Amino acid sequence: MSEDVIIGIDLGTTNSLVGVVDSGFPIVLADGEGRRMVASAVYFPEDGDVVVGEAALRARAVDGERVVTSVKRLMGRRAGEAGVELPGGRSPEEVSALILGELKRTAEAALGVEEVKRAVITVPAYFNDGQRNATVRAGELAGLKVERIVNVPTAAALAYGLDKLGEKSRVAVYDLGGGTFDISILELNEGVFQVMATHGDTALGGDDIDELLAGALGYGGDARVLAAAREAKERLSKEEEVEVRVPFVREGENLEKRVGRGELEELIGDLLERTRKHCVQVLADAGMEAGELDEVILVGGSTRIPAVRALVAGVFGKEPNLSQHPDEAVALGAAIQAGILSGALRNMVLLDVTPLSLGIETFGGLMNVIIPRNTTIPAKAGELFTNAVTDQESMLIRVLQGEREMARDNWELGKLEIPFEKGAKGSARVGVQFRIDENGILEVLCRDTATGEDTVLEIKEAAVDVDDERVEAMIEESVDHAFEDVTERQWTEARLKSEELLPAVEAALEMAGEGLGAAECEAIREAAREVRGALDAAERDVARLKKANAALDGATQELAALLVERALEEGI
Amino acid sequence: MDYFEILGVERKAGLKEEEVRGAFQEVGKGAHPDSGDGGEAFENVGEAYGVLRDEGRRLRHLMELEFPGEEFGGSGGMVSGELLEVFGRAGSVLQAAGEVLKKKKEATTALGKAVLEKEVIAAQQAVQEVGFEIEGMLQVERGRLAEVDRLLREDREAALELGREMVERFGFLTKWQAKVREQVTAFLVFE
Repeated sequence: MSEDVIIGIDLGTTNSLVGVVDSGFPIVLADGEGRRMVASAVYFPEDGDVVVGEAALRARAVDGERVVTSVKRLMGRRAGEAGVELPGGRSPEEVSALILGELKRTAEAALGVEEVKRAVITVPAYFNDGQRNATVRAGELAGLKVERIVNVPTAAALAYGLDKLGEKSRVAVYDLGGGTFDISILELNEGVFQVMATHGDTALGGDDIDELLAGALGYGGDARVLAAAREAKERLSKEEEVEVRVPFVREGENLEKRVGRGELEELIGDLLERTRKHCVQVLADAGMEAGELDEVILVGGSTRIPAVRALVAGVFGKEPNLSQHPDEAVALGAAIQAGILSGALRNMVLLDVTPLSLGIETFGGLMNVIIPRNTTIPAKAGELFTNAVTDQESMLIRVLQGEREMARDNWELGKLEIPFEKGAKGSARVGVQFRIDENGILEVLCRDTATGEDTVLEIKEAAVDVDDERVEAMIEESVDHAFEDVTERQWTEARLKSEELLPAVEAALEMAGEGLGAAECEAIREAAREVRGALDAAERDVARLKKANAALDGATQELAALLVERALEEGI
Repeated sequence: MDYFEILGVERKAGLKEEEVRGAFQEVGKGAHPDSGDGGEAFENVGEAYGVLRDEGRRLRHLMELEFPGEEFGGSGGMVSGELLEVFGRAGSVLQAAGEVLKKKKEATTALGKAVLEKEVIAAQQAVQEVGFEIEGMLQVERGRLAEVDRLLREDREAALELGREMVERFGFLTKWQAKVREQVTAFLVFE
């Protein structure tokens, strides 16, 4: 293997892997101890060398403050920003670079080369421009030239399709990893991998499941309980019931509890429902029905959970395809893309898309879309800007990414200063080219209409002081709330609930009351009277009102179910 | 730029979507920076695909190529009463749907949501119905694409007139279809 080999890296939230194409086949590389997966954890001891991987994870029990896990969730954010408190004031990309460096060394040792200099790195498809740029910088900090940023579900599709190049098919890739979720639909045709649409959530994954379970065990946020919850979650994919044990979880307290698979499934119901919505969206965006898909491929460690598989089968109406290794497929795909770039693999090409619409802020604070989401990349679009006043020297525009109508609801990539020649109002015209490159990263070119020369416009990151202002405003707000009368707020909340329930009870009894027994109707009326009584009482009693609300909520459960059932029947 | 030429497909209105996508995949494979055979810039291939895969935009591009100097799809064209009537209805149906979903989202109790269920289902059905209606009208327009191609060969003046009218209709219909689809999806992903 020559020195200019390109490695493929799956930089995951919880685990990372490195692969390469060897004699036409992608393989995952193992470290000196035979491990193919390195935990994405970094330990910064008080003194001594930085530790990456499983050993860093173990240090969490004794020196948790100095161990960083799931740093991928912070990518694109700056050091010191609210919520980004890393040891030594490091930035998320500096920490990621240490993980990448570990993988680089693994590859160098496994391949027997002095130095590996080039890499393809995967990112969640739903990563925005800032998160992609941060990943490129992390690679550079680790001494790697990042030849391509490739989307995780697309990489998985490459791994799936490598031995089916002659075929034509349509597949969905459902990727639920440690920290992120993506769903992509692709068409595979004669070596072309065309992404039709992609959707996802960059903050939804196995980590959230661990936290939910730790919370349900009564110790949310505790590092040891989190680790135990993760283990229990993993075992529950095979066993019906497991025992969670954390001795001395607190002073004089041991955690010993049995957890059933059903309990876990109930806990993660909402989370899975969120992935279902993205599946519906991606089908709509691709303009396809679930029945038109040939396969639904699962990747990502969290797809080992039986409830996840059941959800996928339900949404797409077919059993998911489990042919790909949930942990390794993405690294293999990254290696394949590296092989395409180095020329080791031929007759394959990936036509990927941009997951988010790109636009600029226009009059009235609206978002004006320039490149819509799901456009195949690289893509470009031009926009003409004119001076609005005589001798205007430049114009500042906000560049945005997202799907919301109002500019402020989208992610701001930064500001762009467009220079004008001096002249009468409307006389200076500047053509601006927005280009999303094959990495999904934005580049803005400004064309001088006189010389026809293009210059690259720098995108100025949203200024740090703006963020500080926002953070301060948030702090002030929370201080305000702290001084607010707590009971006042609780009363208002309870009152609003009563005011929603009481008229709903009237309407519901009118619509379907005859479907219930007389005793039940009377019980509901009695509960409603108690709510009204609590509401009108001279002395405000928050506890009484809350209790009355809860009782009415409970008494009307059957009535609510009856209403929904009838509405569905009538609808058919 | 001639997008038909870029994708190497026949210059006509009545192309099939699979035909266009197949051509995009083939030409795109060669033009992509990763294969780098230095042909047509990939961005232009992508742009051609974006236009030709959409019947309305494809027809407009064809008309602009066939009749340089003529304007198509501006506000000058007349919208038939029939279209106006459907769009008026679609507008109110979509608004009602948005409102009932908002109400349901704001309800915090199971009973509060349940009381709205009947209204939600009715709104959902109304949106679907108007969607079918618009889709039906689009089908009619699609069926007339071949007619434009025939007229382009036999009677260019008639082709110009029909093409101009159809570009308008496609423009409005696809815009409303997109709005309806968005709302249909909103019902599916709700709660």
